[in-house]
Amino acid sequence: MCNTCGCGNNGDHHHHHDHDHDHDHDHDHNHSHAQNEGKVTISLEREILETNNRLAERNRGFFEARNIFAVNLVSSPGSGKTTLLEKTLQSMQGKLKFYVIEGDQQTSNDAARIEATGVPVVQVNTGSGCHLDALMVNRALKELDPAADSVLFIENVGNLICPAMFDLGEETRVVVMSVTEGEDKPLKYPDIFRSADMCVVNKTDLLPYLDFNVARAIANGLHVNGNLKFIELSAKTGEGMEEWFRWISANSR
Amino acid sequence: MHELTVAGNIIAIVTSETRVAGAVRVSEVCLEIGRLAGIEYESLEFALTALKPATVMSDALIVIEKPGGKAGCRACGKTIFFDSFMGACDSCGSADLEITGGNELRVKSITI
Repeated sequence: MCNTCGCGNNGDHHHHHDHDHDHDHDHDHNHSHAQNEGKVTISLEREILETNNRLAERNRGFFEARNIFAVNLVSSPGSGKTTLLEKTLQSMQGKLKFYVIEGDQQTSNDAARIEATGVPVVQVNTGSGCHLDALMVNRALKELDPAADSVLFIENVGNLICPAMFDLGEETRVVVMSVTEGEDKPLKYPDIFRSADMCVVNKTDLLPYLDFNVARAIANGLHVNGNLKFIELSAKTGEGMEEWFRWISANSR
Repeated sequence: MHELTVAGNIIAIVTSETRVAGAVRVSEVCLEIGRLAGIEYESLEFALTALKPATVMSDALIVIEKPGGKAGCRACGKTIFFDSFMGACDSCGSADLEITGGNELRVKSITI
């Protein structure tokens, strides 16, 4: 019996299922499919996110060709991603060339804040969408046209769930967790912490007023992702920012 | 609600494959979605139910295979099985794990 369609024909027809191209697949061959009530099962094994993943690889190739260090910045809303970016750009833009893609459901408020630092920025509004995808980044890149040897920050939509599974073609993924959130954030939202390379623990200036235990939060992060790195900082006061700047410098070429 | 995007992609794949096969209707769609794939099964089923009318999948039975998580420990070589995330090998405690299963996100087959 044929393993592909279960048709009972002993192998004198071919099932060629390489789907990188369009092809006709006519069913006028002379055998019946009666064993399965006239139905045929076609094995596909196609990746559901293949369109996104293919575009992400194109973006990655673009970054590689222009030697761009691309960072996908993810977090829950209000953890301080935009402030972290503002302070980073203000301090570092004399040393490195920066570009920013801002993702939000609505408004261009964040892009205006970035624009005020003098760094080129493109705002992407996702509308009803809850995450950036590789196509949105691909379009934004055409508009932004980032120069070679630069650093690109992609500030994702504030959401700890949906952005986790969408590869944008970035080289590294940074998750920002602020100390006003629970220490168990990594346990509650493991997908995003597992997919990240670096975790920035932000708003450390508020620690004296909170019960947040940094060591426990880090232990929770390591529980879901044993390779996760951590930097503790306050984007507001500047405490710990030097380590973040060093990490960016070390990764950009 | 990224499940809506995922459901849209599933319908696009099934529609194009059905056309390629010369059919107009699908009676069954088999999906393989691992327990670590970041998908809420109920949300996905809801999204598919909302999107599938007026497509080739309108009457299709949807079967979801849900393989569990599997990882190999690079330190001690043990294979571990789990359904929620683990940061360390339950045998030697090493955090150097390679996830080898549970991330599946595929349209496995269609029946026409």
